Amino acid sequence: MLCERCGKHQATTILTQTINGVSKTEHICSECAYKSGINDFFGGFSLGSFINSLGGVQNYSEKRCPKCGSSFDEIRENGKIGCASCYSFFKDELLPTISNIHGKALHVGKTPHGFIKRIEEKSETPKPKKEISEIEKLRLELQKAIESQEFEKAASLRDKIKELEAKQ
Amino acid sequence: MDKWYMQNAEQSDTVISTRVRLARNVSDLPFKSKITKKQMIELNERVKSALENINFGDNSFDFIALDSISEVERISLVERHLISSNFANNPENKMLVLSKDNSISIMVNEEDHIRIQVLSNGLNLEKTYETCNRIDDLLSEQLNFAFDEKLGYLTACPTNLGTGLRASVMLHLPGIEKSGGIPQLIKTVSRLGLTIRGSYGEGTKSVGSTYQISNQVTLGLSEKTAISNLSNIVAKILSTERATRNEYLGGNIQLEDQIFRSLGVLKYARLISSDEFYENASNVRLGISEGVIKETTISALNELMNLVGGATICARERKMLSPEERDKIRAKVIREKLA
Repeated sequence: MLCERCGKHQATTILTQTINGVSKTEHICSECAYKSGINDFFGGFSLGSFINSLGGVQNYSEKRCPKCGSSFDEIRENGKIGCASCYSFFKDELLPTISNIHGKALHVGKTPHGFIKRIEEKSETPKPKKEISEIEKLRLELQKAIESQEFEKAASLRDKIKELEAKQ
Repeated sequence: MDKWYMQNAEQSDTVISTRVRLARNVSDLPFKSKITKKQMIELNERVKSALENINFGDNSFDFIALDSISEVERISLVERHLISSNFANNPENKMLVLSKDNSISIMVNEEDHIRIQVLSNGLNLEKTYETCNRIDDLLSEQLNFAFDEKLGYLTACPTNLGTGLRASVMLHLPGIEKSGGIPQLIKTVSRLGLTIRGSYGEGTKSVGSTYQISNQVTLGLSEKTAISNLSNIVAKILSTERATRNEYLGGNIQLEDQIFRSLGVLKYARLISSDEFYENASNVRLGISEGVIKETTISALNELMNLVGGATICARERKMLSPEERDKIRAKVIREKLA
């Protein structure tokens, strides 16, 4: 049988996709399978549409990143940020999306070579300690639950956190 | 030097491989959507000079201009999980840095400026991350990475912000699959901020019972926490898998029959498609893990997985082959390996 997409080559792959419970089966050739990114170990999901839905209908087109010239519309369209400066320039527009993906928008991991010093120089006065919020408490509990392999508990804690985050 | 998939593996009865990648961008060049040709070439040069003089012993790096190799060679790299298909499809001005044992591959000018990837055989999360981290340190000494105190490493797509870390483990779960437990597993795992998917296709049915599980959240969690979360959940899945196998295997003559039929196909067939290989190799892998098959090894199967991709066969033969010609050569390679 010939490939149902290009109609040129012999179909070697049966592709079944289930989206929202509806299954669709296609017979395609290896070239078309490769082009559609099946078998791609690196595949993730595109965020373009995601940013789009969060950006609403506002028109941002007049504002452009001074460094790379990206407008927020461009970023929304392809789901990719133009350059490092876009993150500070479009901070207000991007932050809701970032919190939505990751929950917490504060980096706690590694810093690049030479960066630790820059922070130390900046923060001469130590910040007063903030009280731990309800969400942070739940996050700590979640961490513990995962470490002690109580996955049912962890899952329900995660749901609670999601709920609280949604209210914020 | 032995390729990574020939090296020692832990928990190889249930885990095929471990992968860790870090996404990085340099601060003074625009990201992929805005970068110019000239800047891409400049970035390749910068990465090359940062890594050129580092001594990795036997495991030294090759610097490959992606548009200098044929399309079939590029697809073969995708089949062997060394580059993404997106990277292979648009090779202009892109560079791949590949270690001799293929365990380290660095894509330059992919979605992010730099994607460092390290692969290991079996379950090996901590060490694999350590290697990735070391290369990141080395690059970081020479290149100024885009970084923000609050958002962490800045990436072209906000899904990778923070640590830029994606750690994943390729699992072999015939037990859970046969007992119908995959939908529940997918549900639970996704509620814990991880994703799991069939390794050779989307959705709940996977060719050869292989599933890839990886972390999803990269901001607000340290690298160590992300790795240990994944590691804990993988440990739990593996114990479920082993328990299910015990339940199903003991005296199950139908399953034993299936395992030996698969061994027969791999040892004697004259034409094998790649799906057929994966399905049968999965049964044989189960048979070896459970001590039913003693005449071949998991290591031989792991090696085969990296030898029998369609493009990999064409690349080795240095010509484009029809599907039937590929199936014929594939069958021969498998037969010889298992003889």
